[in-house]
Amino acid sequence: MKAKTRGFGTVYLSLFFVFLYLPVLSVVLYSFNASRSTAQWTGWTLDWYRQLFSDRAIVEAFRVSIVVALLTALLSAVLGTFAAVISLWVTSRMKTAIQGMMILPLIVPEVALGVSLLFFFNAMRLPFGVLTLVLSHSLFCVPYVYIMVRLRLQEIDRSILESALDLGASTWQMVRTIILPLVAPSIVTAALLCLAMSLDDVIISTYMSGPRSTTLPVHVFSMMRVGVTPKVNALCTLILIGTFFIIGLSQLITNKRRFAK
Amino acid sequence: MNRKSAVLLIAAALVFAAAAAAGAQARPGEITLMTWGGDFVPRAIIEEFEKETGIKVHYKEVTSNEDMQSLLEANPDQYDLIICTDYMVDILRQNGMLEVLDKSQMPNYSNINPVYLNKYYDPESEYAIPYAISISLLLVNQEEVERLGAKPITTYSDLWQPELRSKVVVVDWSVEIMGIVLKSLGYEYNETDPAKVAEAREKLFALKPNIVRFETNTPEDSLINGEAVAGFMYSNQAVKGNAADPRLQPVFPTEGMPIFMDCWVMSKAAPNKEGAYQFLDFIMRPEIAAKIADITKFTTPNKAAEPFLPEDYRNNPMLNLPDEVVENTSFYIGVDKVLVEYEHIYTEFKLR
Repeated sequence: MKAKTRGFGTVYLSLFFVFLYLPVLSVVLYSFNASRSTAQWTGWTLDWYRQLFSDRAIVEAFRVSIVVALLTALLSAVLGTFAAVISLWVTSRMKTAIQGMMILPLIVPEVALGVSLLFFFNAMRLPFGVLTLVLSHSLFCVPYVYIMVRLRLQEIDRSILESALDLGASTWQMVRTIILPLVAPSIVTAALLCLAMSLDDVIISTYMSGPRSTTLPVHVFSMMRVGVTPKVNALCTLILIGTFFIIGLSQLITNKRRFAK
Repeated sequence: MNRKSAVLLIAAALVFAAAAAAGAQARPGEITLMTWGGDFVPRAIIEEFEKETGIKVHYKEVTSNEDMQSLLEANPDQYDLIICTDYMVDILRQNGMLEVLDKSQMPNYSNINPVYLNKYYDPESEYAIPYAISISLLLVNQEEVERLGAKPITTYSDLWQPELRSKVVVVDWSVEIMGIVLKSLGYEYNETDPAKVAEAREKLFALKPNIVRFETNTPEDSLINGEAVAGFMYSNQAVKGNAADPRLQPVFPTEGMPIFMDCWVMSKAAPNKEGAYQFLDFIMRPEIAAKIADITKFTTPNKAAEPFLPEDYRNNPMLNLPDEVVENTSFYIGVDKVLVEYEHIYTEFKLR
């Protein structure tokens, strides 16, 4: 009976992953297709990769995307971690309120968020560009850092913190020497998640990128009117590799933490 | 708070200050245009303009007409020129966002083919200059149609032939498909008269057995791989299909076709109107317009560009649209008034 269940589980999971990844793999395959059309296979080529790297607009958009993603990950990690640490010392009612408000930006439709940020930054006279992109991306990234760090903090024995304070440590010393090292793996994992989410965003980025800084996803989507070339397949393949690398890295860090425990 | 965190905060502040400085306000000697990305306005053409005039061109890429509207209405003084689709020109014009164009600053304006002027979105052609034109049409493999025992396809009505069972591919949009049916009945696009819509609904349902696929992005692929023998699609897709297999030939249905026009418009609050006029005049030069048409593979409204077009473009009736074909086209006007009803009928149709 047990073996039977396990057999079913294996088949189910295999099908699940085939279904999930087969379309993705077809993009990889077609990025090497010599024909422009996906209806025909006319041989292998690396031309689309060559064209990709000589396309200045794509390279520039990619640079903006990477800069924005790195700054977003950094800013969200700092803001989210501090919010989570501070929430250790608030009343439980306050904690619920904080939790609710943190999740709000994830529930509000992105278009609404994008348009309201557009008006807000406009009123503040902020120039649209990398700055507004980082601030708006952090808005929907901070909650993830908060949630992940908060979960890890709950695992920490409060008595360790109290004894540190009793033995004369200042609050900052306690945070720096006990809390931060304990939650560091969660912060890194969350930051990598922010990196990936910032790289993915289209809708908010459309509104937040200035007249002269376009991010990569916006660039790709805006090509629809003219028609998407297999160059984009090549680009997707490279992004896939990059994403797998980031996810692999975060998994590695999480596992290390498990083993350390 | 100790020294380390103070250093961290200052570093963060510096990063933002640098980022802020990088995205400064518009200066004279540059223009900003906003439209679809990719090479809709080819980078090579922009570089040529920059080299000749010394005016720097910024290119804001967006994904929809609606995004252009929100961005322009929030910051009208950030953008000089916009290319948007006909219906959005109409909306922006009625919202008072657009500048009346001074034709005396653009001698090359006379190159524009009058068949593309004075349309519903700009009845007096005061605000908009057509840039890229496309239509929807039928792409047909007449050889295969004949082999199936059907008569050659020349009209929408021919798509209803029972011999074409599971052999027709269409783009997946209610307004387009209802358009085919309405035209085949001799009515106009986006008909609201309930009796006519009900009649169209019945005729639409009769088409169902012949549809093998609904496909918006690559309908031409169904004809290339032989799944379908006739398809209703956008002209750029038909061009690709015809290039991949020369047996696939365009058919301009005698009942008429839909047309889409992307047009240049100028923001009323444009920071550099002079530069914008210079740019518009530049892209309306015959040889420049020809180059743009060849790169983007849209139909150019520039009549004077014809001698400069490459031969394969000039001889392709889907790209170099004959005037009599253009005269037999019409716009989808008032989509908002029919969309809910049409979507309802269309969903029912697809579920049959």
